[in-house]
Amino acid sequence: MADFEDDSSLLALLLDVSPAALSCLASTPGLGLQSLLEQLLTFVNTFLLLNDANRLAVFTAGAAGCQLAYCSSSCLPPAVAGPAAVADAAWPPSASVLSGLQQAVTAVAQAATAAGVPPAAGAACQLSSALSRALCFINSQQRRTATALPGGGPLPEGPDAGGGGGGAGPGQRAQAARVLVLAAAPDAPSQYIAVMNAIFSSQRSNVIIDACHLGQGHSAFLQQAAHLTGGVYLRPTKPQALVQYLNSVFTLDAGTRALLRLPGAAQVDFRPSCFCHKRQIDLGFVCSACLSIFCEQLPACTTCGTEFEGKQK
Amino acid sequence: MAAASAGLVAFINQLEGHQLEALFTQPYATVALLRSLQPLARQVLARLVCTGGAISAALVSSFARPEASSKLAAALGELTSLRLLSKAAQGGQQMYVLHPSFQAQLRQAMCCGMMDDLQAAALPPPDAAPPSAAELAAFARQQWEAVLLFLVDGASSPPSPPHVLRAAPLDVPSLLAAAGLMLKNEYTQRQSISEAGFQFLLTGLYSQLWAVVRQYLAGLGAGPTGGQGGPPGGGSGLAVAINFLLRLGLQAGRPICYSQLGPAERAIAAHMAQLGLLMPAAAGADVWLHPTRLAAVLAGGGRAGESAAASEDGYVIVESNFRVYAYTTSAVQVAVLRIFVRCDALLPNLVVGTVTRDSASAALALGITATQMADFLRQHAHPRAAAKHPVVPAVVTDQLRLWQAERARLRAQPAAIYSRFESPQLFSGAVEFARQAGALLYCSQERQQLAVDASFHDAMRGHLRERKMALGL
Repeated sequence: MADFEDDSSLLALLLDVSPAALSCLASTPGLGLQSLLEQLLTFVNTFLLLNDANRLAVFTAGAAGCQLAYCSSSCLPPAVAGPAAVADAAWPPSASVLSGLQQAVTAVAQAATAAGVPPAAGAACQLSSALSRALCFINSQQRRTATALPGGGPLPEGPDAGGGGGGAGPGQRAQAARVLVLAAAPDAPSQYIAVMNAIFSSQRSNVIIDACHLGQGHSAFLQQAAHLTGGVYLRPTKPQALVQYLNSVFTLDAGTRALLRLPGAAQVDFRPSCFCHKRQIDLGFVCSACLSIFCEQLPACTTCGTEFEGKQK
Repeated sequence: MAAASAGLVAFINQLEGHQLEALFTQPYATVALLRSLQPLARQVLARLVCTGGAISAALVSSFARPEASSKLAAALGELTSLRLLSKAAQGGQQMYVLHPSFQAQLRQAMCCGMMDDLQAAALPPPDAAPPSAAELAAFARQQWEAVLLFLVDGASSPPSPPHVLRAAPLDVPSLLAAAGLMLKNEYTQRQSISEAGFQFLLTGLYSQLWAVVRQYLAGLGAGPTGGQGGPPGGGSGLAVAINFLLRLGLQAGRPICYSQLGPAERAIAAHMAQLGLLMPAAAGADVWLHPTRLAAVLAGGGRAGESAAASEDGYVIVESNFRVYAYTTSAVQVAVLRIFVRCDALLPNLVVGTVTRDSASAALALGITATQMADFLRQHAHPRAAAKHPVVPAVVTDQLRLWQAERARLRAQPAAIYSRFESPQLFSGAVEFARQAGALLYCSQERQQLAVDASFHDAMRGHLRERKMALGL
């Protein structure tokens, strides 16, 4: 018996394939889309090699929405993963991941051209919906393993069930879950509230959000996501060597992270967006009742309707 | 502890240089070895595998946070003892060099996957239904339990080889005897379980499998005595055999066509089918071998094996009044429990027993430790009991430990005893002298007796002589 802890994890990988990200990748020297996918594939293989209980799902997050591009065969419900699926599942999933990702990416590009959106336009990815999708996926996986185990039974929906998250029974610990966001598009301030809600719910369900930002500048959303959930935010200085960054930092499970030095964001950009105009602000007005943020002083809160007293301008 | 060191890593640690060289060129052995390492060692490899040339040792040591540097050092120590990493001095600096062929295999697996040779292999005809998971599990259990049952009573028949394979069977009794798990009585020619065998029964499935497979591989390496028609001895033959065994567990349930294997692999495959690692099923004109759970456990690196065992066959409930309820119909499981549990009632699907001082002492006398017993109860806990915390009541584990400590109440120590002192002053002076030197073991004022450590005898004799002179005795 091995004397070490269970270090397997469930990883949801979000790949940003929005037009903005694709144009950004194309302009990065030494890292085209093809090279990115190949390096990502190496990372996926490494992750699955390191532990046979590691499970993985890859989502593509585009401007239009989020799609599942690949998931480990053990993530599928038993009805879908029949004997045919087992024979299909090459291990490690070299070819199937790459072809799935390429299909997804080309589909996104085609959809964008069909819709008449010029690819260079700043259509950012729907980070909030992609994060929510990943969290839903993780939650459903954890619930399934909890119910599949003998004695787990239906989920304990007691008064304390909300706090635990993950839905694991009292005896067994749910498999640790992580989200890795591989983004290149700039933040869309209009998504601020939805992204923050996704971050808080992953914080509550003990899901770490890691982020690797390949675009220009830093992403405040991803910095905050990593900061609040205990993940790692990384902006590679040499994006062409992406695979080394991925293998060194993002294959680590939570237990091993505590032992190793990791790159940390020197400064986290905590600036929020205002609720009224979705502008990123340094200083603003906060509703004392519901904590909504506004960039200008209003007579009443537009979220909860509280009337503000005091001097109006 | 023996259980912890009975895995793939321990096995590879024992191999010689040329065997290791051959092993590291085998893809499946490389992957299985990677998974058997501790997590930190795996991460170090993940970081180093894509680098070229030597890496400065100072850089590698700086991976760890200051408080975890000892853990990193332990992981690096494991890697160097397996010769995956070697230290070299270059330009006055300590450098680490990854084993080149191991690195090449790992890179290959990371970049391209490892299914190339399997993709090319034929698939069974689609009309033949593969055995279901339940059938596979039942076959694996039947074969492996036959091995354990033979080990326990020495009279039942060892597992029979599957008939469809028509191969030379594996001599299970000699294998178990060679592994030291059974002893042969020279007069009756009957085998019975040894102390090591009892300990073997209480370890986890992963350790059990490796103990048997290790002996099997040793038999292959030794020549024709162990495995009939095995591969030729030497590094490469052994490496190919290990790689084949690990491949069974790593190929995600893909069946192997028996007739497409080479003669050496065919012999190994037939033997593994006899042990329950492979389930033969006829489909069309060929026989297909389906890897079972045991094969996955063998290659899983311990952690996965443990969970696979726990999720399936938990059957023991321990109460705080030392009652043990075991929901099982398997003769092996009953026999294992009876090593340290007094059996009170034997019902068709339930064994009711009690852990008593006598039953535990009998097990302790066999060399089984209290931790092993507690671990066994914990690992095979019924799912209902496993959901509780702690799984085994603390009174039971504590009492097992106390019973073990009871056996070590007396301690033998070489000593020298002195008596019939000529005067009380001489006695009290000698006691004081011995006490100051820390060598006093026993003294009795009434009897005027004194015992000191045997190594202190010379000093004591000198002291007594001096004192006698001084006192004029």
